[in-house]
Amino acid sequence: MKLIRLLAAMAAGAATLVLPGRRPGRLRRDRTLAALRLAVRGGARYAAGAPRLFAAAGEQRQLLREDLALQTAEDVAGTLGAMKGVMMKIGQLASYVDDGLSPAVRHTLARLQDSVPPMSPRLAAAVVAEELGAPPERAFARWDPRPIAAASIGQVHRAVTLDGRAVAVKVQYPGIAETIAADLRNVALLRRMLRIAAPAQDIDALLNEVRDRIGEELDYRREAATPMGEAEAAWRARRQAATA
Amino acid sequence: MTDTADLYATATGLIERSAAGYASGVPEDAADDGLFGPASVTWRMSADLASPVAGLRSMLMQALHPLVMAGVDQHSGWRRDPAGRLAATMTYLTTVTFGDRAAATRAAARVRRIHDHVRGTDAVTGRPYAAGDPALLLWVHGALVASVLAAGSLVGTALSAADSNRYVAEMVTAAELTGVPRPLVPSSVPELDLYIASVRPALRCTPAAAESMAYLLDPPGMDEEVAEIWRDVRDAAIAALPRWARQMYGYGAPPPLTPSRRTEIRQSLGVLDAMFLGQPGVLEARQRITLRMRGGRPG
Repeated sequence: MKLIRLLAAMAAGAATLVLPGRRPGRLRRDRTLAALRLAVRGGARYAAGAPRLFAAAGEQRQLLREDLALQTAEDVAGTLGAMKGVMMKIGQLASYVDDGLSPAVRHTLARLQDSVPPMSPRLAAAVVAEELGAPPERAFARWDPRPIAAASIGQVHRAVTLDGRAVAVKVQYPGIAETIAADLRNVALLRRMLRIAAPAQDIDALLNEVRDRIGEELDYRREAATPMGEAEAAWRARRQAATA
Repeated sequence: MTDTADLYATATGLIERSAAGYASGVPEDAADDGLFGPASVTWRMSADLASPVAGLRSMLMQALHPLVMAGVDQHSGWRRDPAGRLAATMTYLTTVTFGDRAAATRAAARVRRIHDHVRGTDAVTGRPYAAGDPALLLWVHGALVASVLAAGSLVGTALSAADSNRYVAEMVTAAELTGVPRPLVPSSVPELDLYIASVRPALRCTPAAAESMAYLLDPPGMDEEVAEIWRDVRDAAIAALPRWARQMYGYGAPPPLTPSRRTEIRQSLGVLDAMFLGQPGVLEARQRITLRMRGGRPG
């Protein structure tokens, strides 16, 4: 599938530490499930620019609208809950599909992407603290509180790890993984949406594609099971030493 | 039996025109915070996901008053232009909620002038009616306020008892604006309940009510997939009605609203909301509201 290769190629191009956005303070803290993914390329310096590849065309969203930033998990749920996060992802996938979408649907999906502002620095820091057990200023040697790019269901921050590596940290909106997983289970409504969005397409194939692609992205445990990057190993070693 | 599709215009453009009404009702440069203000429960509830359910339930309740229904039926021209009729209501409610005082007052004055000409005799009860009659205006108001609370608690944001009372109290101003003397308007949930119970003996499902509500519950001309989504809104609105109102319409008892069914309905509401958001000006209007609710400068 063209779609998958394209996205995979993008993912490989950036140094990323992915933080699943659990609802701060709600789920138990389980470091082994923190599911970090760090794919630092040899010699990577400050990864400015590269993470922008994660943002699909037209997906710069409201990065400059800090006044509209999502401040609470409730803000996130209001913006991305009730199928909207799934639709946004469909819009993102659809931006790689050349035909089959009406201009009106394309416009609606693009507007939906535009409607998602970044997390406030405070909310992003709360997600980091929840996942890493320490606020970003302590979990990293340097942490840029302002996101440099919108990720699909999160945003990307620049940081320097405690052992001096420049990384881009992808922080997921809190609580959104559970919501999207629940929304993906409503197959009847997904079919309806896809029939509205792309009536000419093979709906079953499209549905599988959407569920696979989005499901994959939410599944950080599976990502964590792949060989860890050396930087992540180093981070874990330091972390263990620090807590021993 | 006649084919309803021949009698009524289709619902084409319902979302588009409602959205246009909404976008135009949220000011870019408000002179003041309006009748309710950014900290009000009214502002909070107007953004609720359950709003379409509240709107539909509200119309189902309002239509049960024979004189209210007769006025709408004989004067509003909704058969010719149902989308236009709904869009006008959307514009009015949005302007009264988010507009500055001058805009809200102007909108209300315009509606009162229109109401002045809405008079007639109800064919069912044989009673004369006038749209400016405070008793009818109060029913329209009470049905709306109760529906926002009922829809919210069923599939949207359930307000605390204190906030529910606050909402009912805030909305007194909206009723006054349409021409109901303030002392007549319920200003707490218990008062609202008492008021609705007091009107109940006068309510009934007239042929006009049955006809117009059948149209709303299953609007002709909707895209098939959108119609499926609308079905969830309809189910929720009917489930949110009092049992006696359902019985007047002859609707069966709704299946229990399990948590998973509630989630499904909210997912459908989310899709509708995304369609609404895709219309010109809606995102910007919402951002204006968000900024004002956060204490930022208007616009």
